[in-house]
Amino acid sequence: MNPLTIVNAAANLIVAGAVLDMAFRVFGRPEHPIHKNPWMLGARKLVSSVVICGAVMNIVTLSTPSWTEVLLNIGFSLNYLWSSYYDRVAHTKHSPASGSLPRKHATGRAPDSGKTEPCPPASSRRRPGSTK
Amino acid sequence: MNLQEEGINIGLAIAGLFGALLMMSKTAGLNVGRSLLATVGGAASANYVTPLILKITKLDNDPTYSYAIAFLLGFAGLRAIELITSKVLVDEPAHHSKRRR
Repeated sequence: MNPLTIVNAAANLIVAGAVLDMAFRVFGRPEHPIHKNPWMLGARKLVSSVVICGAVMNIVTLSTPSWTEVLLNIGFSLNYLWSSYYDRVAHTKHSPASGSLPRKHATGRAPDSGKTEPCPPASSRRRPGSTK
Repeated sequence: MNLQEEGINIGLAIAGLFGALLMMSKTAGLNVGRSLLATVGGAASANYVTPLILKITKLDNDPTYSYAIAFLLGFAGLRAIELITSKVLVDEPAHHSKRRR
């Protein structure tokens, strides 16, 4: 078998797996913000389905394109693999890429901030909704 | 290896896979294994059930409808298979079991 065929099949396998993983993670979660935009959801679902079906077809037929297209497929596969990995890491609970606010200590200040916030006097503490 | 001789029509299977991917539900990410199985099941049902549908509806002489039916089968998922089997395979039950209250 031609090595280009094997490399192309491996690249397409990575593409299909990574896009399917991303599809499950994006479309398969009701809390994902894409569900607020039905047009974007439909368009991305359609595009992802086209990519997966094309990759599966390339694997099944064992196509052997020219080396430039194999190079392009390798680039696509690495790109999708990185996107899938980043999406997986970015939605981890305590990852730095998740964009969540830093946790505060019990003293009320962030762990990295050098400033200290003065504690308000007890007389000025009022419960929300109280008139006094 | 010729996949056509093994009973796999790539065009029908890809059409079913396309439909099954478009049919992915909102809660597919909560149970990935089941969703993956449903997707593969959509493609397989499109591959294997489409000739049966064409035969039943007497459209097997015209290949124009095969890909559309395969896509619809994949899109409808396994529910279409249940519907078809309930319509086609109508068997009288051997014995009626009494329901317990």
